[in-house]
Amino acid sequence: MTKALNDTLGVKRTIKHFDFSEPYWEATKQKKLVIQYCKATGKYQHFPRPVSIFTGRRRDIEWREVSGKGVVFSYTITERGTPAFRGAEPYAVVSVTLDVGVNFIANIVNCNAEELKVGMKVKPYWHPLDDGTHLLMFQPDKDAT
Amino acid sequence: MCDVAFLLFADTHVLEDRTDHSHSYRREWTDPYGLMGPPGAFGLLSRAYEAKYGLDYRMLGKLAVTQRNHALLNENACEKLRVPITIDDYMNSRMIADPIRLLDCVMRTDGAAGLLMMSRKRAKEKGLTKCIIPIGYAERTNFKGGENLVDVTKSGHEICGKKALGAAAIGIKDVASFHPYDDFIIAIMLQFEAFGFCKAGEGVPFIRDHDFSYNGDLPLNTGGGQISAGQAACSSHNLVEAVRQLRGEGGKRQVKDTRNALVTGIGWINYGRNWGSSAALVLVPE
Repeated sequence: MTKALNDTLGVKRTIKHFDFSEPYWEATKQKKLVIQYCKATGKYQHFPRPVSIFTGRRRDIEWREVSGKGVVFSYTITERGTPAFRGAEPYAVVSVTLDVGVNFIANIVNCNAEELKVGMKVKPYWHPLDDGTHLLMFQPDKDAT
Repeated sequence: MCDVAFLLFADTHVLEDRTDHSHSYRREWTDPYGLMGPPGAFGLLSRAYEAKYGLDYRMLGKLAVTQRNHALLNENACEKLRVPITIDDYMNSRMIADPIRLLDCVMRTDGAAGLLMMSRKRAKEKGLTKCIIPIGYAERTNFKGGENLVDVTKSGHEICGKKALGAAAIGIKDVASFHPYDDFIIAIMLQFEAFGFCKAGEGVPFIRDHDFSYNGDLPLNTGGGQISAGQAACSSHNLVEAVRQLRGEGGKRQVKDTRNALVTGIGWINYGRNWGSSAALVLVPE
């Protein structure tokens, strides 16, 4: 029998942003994914920090738009949720390795428990929030080759 | 200079959620997705291990049962946890953050422990006997913090373990009893690998081939560990148990070989990976 997972779209979310994360949230208003890029080393980093994790310098950081496509690196099925998610169990939390080489933790939609596998190809799903930003989630990328 | 240090470990817990994430990545990057704190993080870690090496969860159950059996022999263990369990009980315990089960998880308890630390000379003056000496200590913090995609099955223990054992001039095969920090059962298996008791990815056969009882070939968390004695003031339980064993005060669970004991610590979990701080301490009787 197929085990349904809650897509968590019904969970109310209010997210406080750090100042240095604002470019990320601003871009999500247009459903664009931007990730911090270190100009000195040519590597991306996520989650956002005030400085490059590779050099420790603020000036090395810029934001670059990326596809948001990737593969599932790991996942857990939450049977006992955090207070805000109580009643929405079971739901999946996935860690996705984006094609630019960072892991991104999020929820997944349009996917049941049997389909969810490490190595599965995924693409972005943008969930609108009340403040005009969007929350990045993932969904199976069935067109991926 | 300090002559005598009193090391006090004490904890009392409140039921309300007072976790403040305002200075952490969690409020933006994991709370909005309902990732359930440490059980969620270890759920991701366990699944990544399973995908890389395969994972027989019954062998994690064997560790859970061994530690529970030790708690049954420890009158200081949390009373609620002093109930026998079987591997089937472990396997059938309800999922919290699949594949993390209820019986994988540490339970917070009220509790306290204390140690007195002083020079040998001072101890002698005070007429104290059966002193325990820390002869090797090392820690590694923010392991691979400056790297992006890392092997999450590895931790700083592979570095600080070698250093602590090196300082103590013993090899891993000489470890007489092992008292690893246990917040989740799989953390014990990952430490078997990181310290070099077995190779990376060979934790499951290592568990299958060894007896971790107090009278087995590698006594493990003989007081029950935090998972079966209760987590009060984190590593203090495992540390105090190691000291008791080396003093020959293990009672019904006394280990035979008291030449040394290896105690470990773990701290915080980095975004989507393994723990960020690792510590190792080798103790010997005087």
